[in-house]
Amino acid sequence: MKRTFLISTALAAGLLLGASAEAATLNIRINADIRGTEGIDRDANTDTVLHHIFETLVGFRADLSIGPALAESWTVSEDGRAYTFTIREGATFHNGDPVTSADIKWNWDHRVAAGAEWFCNGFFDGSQGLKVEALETPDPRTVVFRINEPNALFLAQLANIQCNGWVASPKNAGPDGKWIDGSAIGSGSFKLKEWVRSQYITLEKYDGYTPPKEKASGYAGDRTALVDEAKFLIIPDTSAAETALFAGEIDVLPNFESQRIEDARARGLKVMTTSGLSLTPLLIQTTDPLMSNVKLRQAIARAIDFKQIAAARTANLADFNPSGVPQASAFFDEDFLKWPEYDPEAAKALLAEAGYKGEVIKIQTNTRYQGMYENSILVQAMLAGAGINAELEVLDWAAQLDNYLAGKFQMQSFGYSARLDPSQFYGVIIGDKKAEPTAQWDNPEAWQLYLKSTKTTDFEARKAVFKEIHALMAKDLPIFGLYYEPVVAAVGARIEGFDVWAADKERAWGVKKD
Amino acid sequence: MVRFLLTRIATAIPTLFLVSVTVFALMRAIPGDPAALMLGDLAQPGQLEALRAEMGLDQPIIVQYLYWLGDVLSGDFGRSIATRQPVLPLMLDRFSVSATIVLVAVFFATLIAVPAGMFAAWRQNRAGDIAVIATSTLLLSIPSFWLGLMLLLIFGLQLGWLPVVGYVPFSRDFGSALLYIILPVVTLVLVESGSITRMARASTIEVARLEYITHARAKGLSEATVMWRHAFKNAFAPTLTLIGLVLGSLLANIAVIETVFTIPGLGRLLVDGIYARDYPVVQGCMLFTAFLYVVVNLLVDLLYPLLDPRVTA
Repeated sequence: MKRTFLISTALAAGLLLGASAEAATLNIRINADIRGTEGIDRDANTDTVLHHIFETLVGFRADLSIGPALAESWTVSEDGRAYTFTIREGATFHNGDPVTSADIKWNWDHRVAAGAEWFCNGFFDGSQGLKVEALETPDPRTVVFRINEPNALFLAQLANIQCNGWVASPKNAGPDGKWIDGSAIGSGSFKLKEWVRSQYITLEKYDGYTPPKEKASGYAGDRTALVDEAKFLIIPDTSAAETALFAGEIDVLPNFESQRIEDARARGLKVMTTSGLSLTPLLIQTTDPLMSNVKLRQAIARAIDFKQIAAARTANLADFNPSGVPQASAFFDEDFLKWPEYDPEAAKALLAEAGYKGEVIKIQTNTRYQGMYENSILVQAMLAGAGINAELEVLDWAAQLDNYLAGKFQMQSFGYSARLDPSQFYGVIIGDKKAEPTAQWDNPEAWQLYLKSTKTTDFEARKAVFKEIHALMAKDLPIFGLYYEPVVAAVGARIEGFDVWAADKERAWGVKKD
Repeated sequence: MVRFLLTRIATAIPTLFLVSVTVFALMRAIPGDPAALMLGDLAQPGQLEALRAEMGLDQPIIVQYLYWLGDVLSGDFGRSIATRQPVLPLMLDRFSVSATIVLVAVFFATLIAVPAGMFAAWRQNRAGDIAVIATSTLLLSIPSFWLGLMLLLIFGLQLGWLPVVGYVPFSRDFGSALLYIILPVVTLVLVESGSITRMARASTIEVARLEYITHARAKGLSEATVMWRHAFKNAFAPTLTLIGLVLGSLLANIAVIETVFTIPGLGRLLVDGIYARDYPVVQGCMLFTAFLYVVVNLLVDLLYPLLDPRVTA
């Protein structure tokens, strides 16, 4: 009896010790490994992980306005050409070194030195208007960026998640100035603990993190870690990831299929949704002999019930939106939804006017991205209903992307990456098709309006410019926006504080695990 | 023996050369540009061309091939386009994962299937034989991904006995490693034992009809002695060939199982490489796989004389 008690006590003590030693780990699924820790060679997963380790000077709030991150405050000169940032008091790198203005200059020079390899270089080198002419460091906590002319996008580009323009310790580089492979000394609330390639990346809470005073929102404000570890598990297969979530092996499953929400809720999981920033459109090649006919494009626009597609594909989570201004944007209002109404009879009349004689219209699509495939099927059926002979051309994603880059298609079911400012999106779709085959809309008037949107700093004035662009787009019909992909994440019942936001980036800070 | 070995190695060289040409040409023939896939729709003007030039993709295909072949011959398989890691260590690392699972699975499949096949042959056309044949046919017909998913759902999700995703190397934690490989190994054992059983049965039946077996029985030897001492060796030779092929095929085609169970093995590396048009990785993996086939078949051929003295190396 005495012996049994002793064994039981020892076991209980062991269990208790084990329990107290067990770190609270938040397990998040990513679908592929990160590409590195330097942030220049990047993809969406790389951005997600690295933004936990490193901080940009400013970050996007959940409402897509700009808030403090590594910089606790900033001022803009009267002429709009000098931005002065004050580094957060007490900010230190994971090795204990204080973050200074010299470090920010080092990072900036390192990025600029990468040239075309850093894909955001064009945003700052003057090739697209904005040019950073000088970076000054008057004292250890102050940094001044001097730009060539007032620009509405400067802060947004500094905060641009995909640019990874964050601040890293210069000690991440070796004596040759090159980044040390796998090194990740940042100032974020998590630090790199272990990266097992193709399996997982474990981050651990950085106790030296001193938060800004502002409440956490998006990538801005207080980013204090509440869990001991955040583990990003690489699970390429969606079904396997879902099974792992149901089995409790992962806590957060981003990009959860809208159609599976009810099932997840029935299993006791939480599902978070919000409007997103990734436009899902139908691309139209306006240089194609057939598709260059604006009457035909009008007929196609009338033949497609855009609202029904948006509702069906997103389980009513997203509404139809044909514009470059997403519902999640502060610039959005109902004017951005103006578009030719669904009217199959009007479509038939327009087809006759266009002189359409049943020629085949090919819609390129792929099965790798189920949403693109299903959209193309719905569109094909609707076009057939109006008498348009549309055929699907199902390609491998790599082949479809090749065609997108070369402009080789009549119609294509596509999906754009998220752009956090409407100007960024219009900058992608408007352009000279001969020089840039990825441009969807070759219209000099639209281009001038786009340039105006980048230089106008007043909010209402910018909104008015965006409205002008959209009105012109509804007339030209160069691209058919369907909806902005909703952001959906399924989360384990033990998780508190996790939330989704329009930028569709998971954040492990501010999250507790029961 | 040495001459045989050298001859076999010499005959493998043209095979590997042809594989290298075919894989290289095929990868370039299918549409899709690795630089474009890396940059996606975020590419800025001029970046695509710059990246293609950096990857050497702007060179004529023959020049690209000759550069690659020259590097391979000096032991350098290049760097992955997607991860920038050197391909050879990457492949070897991933191969160690796949090989662990495949070798364990083939070992157990053989351990189960060969006696089962011999038992079926011994009980030919009786209830025991029919039961073995029916089971092996059923196992042969089940797609490995479906079986894997079912096992995952039952033992991982419903019962919660085994982990659902991931892999732990034996060098890191033996106990955990064991837990993680049970489901993929069981899946492969079930799927592969079907074909091995059928082969073992067929070859045993063939051998059992030979005169020397009748002679052994006439001498009054027990059935167990007849089967194990006299029939097994000769009957096992064709089964060994099949096991060799299964081994080679699994090492090359384990991608489905690795995807279902989220195992970072060679198969998944190859599939991910194909999706990303990661030319150095795909070329390296295919060449390595062809090399594995050659080695496995060579080993099988070397084992043959041990089982059947009529075959000389």
